[in-house]
Amino acid sequence: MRVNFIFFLLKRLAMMAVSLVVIIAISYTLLAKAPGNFMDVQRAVAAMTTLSNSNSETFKIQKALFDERYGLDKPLYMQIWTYTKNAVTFDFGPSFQSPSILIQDMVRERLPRTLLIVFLGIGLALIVGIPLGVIAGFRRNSWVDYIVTGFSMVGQVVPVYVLAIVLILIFSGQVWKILPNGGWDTPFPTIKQLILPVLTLALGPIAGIARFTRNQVAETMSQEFIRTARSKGISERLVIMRHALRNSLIPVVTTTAPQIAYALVGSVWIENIFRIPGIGQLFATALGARDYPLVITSTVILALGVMLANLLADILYSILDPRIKLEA
Amino acid sequence: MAVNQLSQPQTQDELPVAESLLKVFWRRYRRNTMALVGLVLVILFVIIAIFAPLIAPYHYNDQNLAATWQLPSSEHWFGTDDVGRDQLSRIIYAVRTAAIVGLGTSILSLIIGAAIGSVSGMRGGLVDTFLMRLVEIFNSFPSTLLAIILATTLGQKVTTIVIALAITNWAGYARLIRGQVLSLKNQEYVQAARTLGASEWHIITKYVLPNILGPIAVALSFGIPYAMVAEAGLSVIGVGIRPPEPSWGNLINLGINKMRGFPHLAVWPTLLFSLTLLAFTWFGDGLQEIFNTKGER
Repeated sequence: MRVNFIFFLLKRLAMMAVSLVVIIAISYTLLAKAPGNFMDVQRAVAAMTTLSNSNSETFKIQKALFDERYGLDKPLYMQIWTYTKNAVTFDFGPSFQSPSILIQDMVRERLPRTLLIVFLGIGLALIVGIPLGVIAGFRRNSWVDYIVTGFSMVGQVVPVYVLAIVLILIFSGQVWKILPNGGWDTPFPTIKQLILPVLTLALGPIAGIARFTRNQVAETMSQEFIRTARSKGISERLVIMRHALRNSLIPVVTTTAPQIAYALVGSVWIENIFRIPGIGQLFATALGARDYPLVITSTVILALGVMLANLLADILYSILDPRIKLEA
Repeated sequence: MAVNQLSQPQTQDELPVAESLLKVFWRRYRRNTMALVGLVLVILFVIIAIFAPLIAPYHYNDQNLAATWQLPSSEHWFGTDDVGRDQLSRIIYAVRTAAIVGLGTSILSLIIGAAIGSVSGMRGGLVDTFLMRLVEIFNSFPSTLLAIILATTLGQKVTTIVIALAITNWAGYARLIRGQVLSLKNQEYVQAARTLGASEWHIITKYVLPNILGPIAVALSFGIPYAMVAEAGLSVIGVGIRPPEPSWGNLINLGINKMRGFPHLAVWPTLLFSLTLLAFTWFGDGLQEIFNTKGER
């Protein structure tokens, strides 16, 4: 069992490493081929402020110096190799926009904010989603069930940026003006600033978890061991607590991983709309500025988060349910 | 020759059965109210997309600088935007763009997925292992992020966005098709065809494909709203279809930016966009129910 587990872990970690290298290679190549580079964007900005900077000879020298400093004059595969090699030791080098600040320092400053809204959102989703799903599952085809399933459908289908608009319109302007719609200027936000982004991020996962839990409970209640338990004459409360719930809640662990993935990717939109300086916002602004090292690093960080969530869910599931075997 | 003679009467016998199957499908589909609502809305959506130029009261890019930021009125039902374009007309044309993106993306990714999935399932062995590892890698990280980067590289036109979304979204289709192929491969009629010397291509197109149309239809109907969500999402972070081209993403993005002063610019696009997504999901749920019900007809 022990050996098996170590083998599983090694295999999964190896797969993760391969995936990350593939992501780095693909995004590096794509961005190198993208129309317009960082210096072009800078030149456009400079041209708008001072016309004197449009001298092309000066620009060429500047660009050559820039390329040399960031190793952009080397062949693409060398650049990818250097980046990957350094990334192993969590060294991502400086970004184009701010050469004096290392990317890893930016990540260290911004990642906690993204993780804060993601984990608060997922926590809220579990606290609200599981009870909703349990109630709907035990009372199938009642009005509670219809409301929960209807809400789950809307929550799962409507994208996070639309939910953000709706919540902002309701709570931060048109209907009630009671909550700020973002703009974190202090290192850490006030509770009021947290409510809207976290709620927006939680709605999708609440819907997903509620729907999954409902179906699990409904399926468990039709199993034969429930009939056996009932025919033994034990109280309905015990049937639910000891037999039904335990068996239907364990699989919920598996649905939490995709929800964390949804929240991590959703943070790109949430942080842009609510103006939260986290990893998601870093990704979008870096893309706009053609700041490629920053784009790739934020992609890698988000992808790593998604993969770790999947791995943890698999391990946790096999611990909670010994019938499940870990297989890579 | 022998194959033809054998299969001739078989297909003739199947004809009346196929017809009644459609009736059976319809009878089952009808039972689900939400699926019916979804179907009606999807048909409406298709009609708007096809006849957009006839339905829209104005052209999507007709600017009227004397009438900017107007609230809804009898002349402009949904008001006007920052350069005086009729919001209703822009929404109607956005439906057309969404139809192209939705259908284009899901069909293109289905083609990629079907090619990889069927080769993987039919060949098996090393080819299968390699392709499935590829699918696993594609599934293990958020494809949306890759789509965003790819869209930046390819450019911000409707066609390039469709390509970017399709390339990052084929893995699910490949897995679906492979699973179907694997379960069909060992069916007796497929083995019979193979014994008679039918080529792999013949088997795939004549026996395997017709049998997996149901699951494919379901996957497509869920793929369409996914593509629409992704397209609009690209616009919201600034790498979507380039304005002034009307798309849900551009309308929603304008809505987000001008939400404070002109909420009607945000309300209508988001409401109608959500309704479109829901319609396709109800429709897909209905289809799924038809194909999943076991036994009972």
